[in-house]
Amino acid sequence: MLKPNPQGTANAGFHVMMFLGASGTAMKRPAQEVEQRAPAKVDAQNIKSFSYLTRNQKFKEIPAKFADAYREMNAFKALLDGWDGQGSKAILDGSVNAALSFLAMLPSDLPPPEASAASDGTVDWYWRNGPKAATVTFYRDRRAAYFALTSAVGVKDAFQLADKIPAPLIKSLRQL
Amino acid sequence: MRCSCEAVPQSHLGAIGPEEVIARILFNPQHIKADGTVRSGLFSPTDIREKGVSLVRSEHLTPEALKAQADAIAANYHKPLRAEGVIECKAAHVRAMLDTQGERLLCLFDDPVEAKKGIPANPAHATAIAAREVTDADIPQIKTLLTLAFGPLRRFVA
Repeated sequence: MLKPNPQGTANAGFHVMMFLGASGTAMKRPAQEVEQRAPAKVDAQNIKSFSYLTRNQKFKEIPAKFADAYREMNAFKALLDGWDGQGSKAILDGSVNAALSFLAMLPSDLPPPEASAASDGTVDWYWRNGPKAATVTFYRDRRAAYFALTSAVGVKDAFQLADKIPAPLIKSLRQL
Repeated sequence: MRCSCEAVPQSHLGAIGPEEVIARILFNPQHIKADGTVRSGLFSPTDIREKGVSLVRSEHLTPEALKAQADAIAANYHKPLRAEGVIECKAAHVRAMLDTQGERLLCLFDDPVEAKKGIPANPAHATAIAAREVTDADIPQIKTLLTLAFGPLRRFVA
């Protein structure tokens, strides 16, 4: 299940395989397998990335430092109607899948985000470092929006997630 | 702009002043991090836009009354979860949240609720809601600023 990659994942002992729908609507509860095999002595330098398999049978890689964020976000797919009290909505698979795609595009020099789910089915990535913070919110259909407060004036915008993250957001996240 | 309602109190407690402390009751551990601060998901876009973020004017309730209110809400709307505690901030911090044009993002006003379905009346209820029609890009700003404004969880005494 693991795609060998040039960054030494085979030594990392961290294998992930999942199906990730491009639209996120076709597979309500995608089959998934998460396997962790911690070697006796972990060489952090060798743990650089892990791979996951998209529904289109393409491997994507996510830096290993984002593994916890990946797991947290992916786990939100199990939250059904009522998870956050009466009237709360199940988490939108499409939102989670978009958030995971975003994670796969995130440069590995950035700090890992925290995953967060809201009672209306949307999800966030969130970063905080003292008074500096940033949130990226994922709506339906890969629609997303961000706000980053890393200076006196924050930056914000909405975007349709395709194949890259808006440059102003990356720049702001580097200032966190 | 909806914030004219801030100046017209709806309860005998009067309007919410800038130094008044407001609280958000937390029921779901999912929203609470190990250090007691909250995750941005606590504030949902739908609440911000349409329903309003439900808050309590904690200075007007004894700790026992606040806990009783929270327990009643948990029993009626959050089973099997229980009330974990509250996060708090000053009203002025919520009202100081501005968009890039310098306009208010949120209104904060007193919003007393009557007793219903096993939940006692709460004259100390308050609501924060978008001050205007907010865009998708406004939402993460409001969520970020709310998350920064509120302090860490203050747990209820069992």
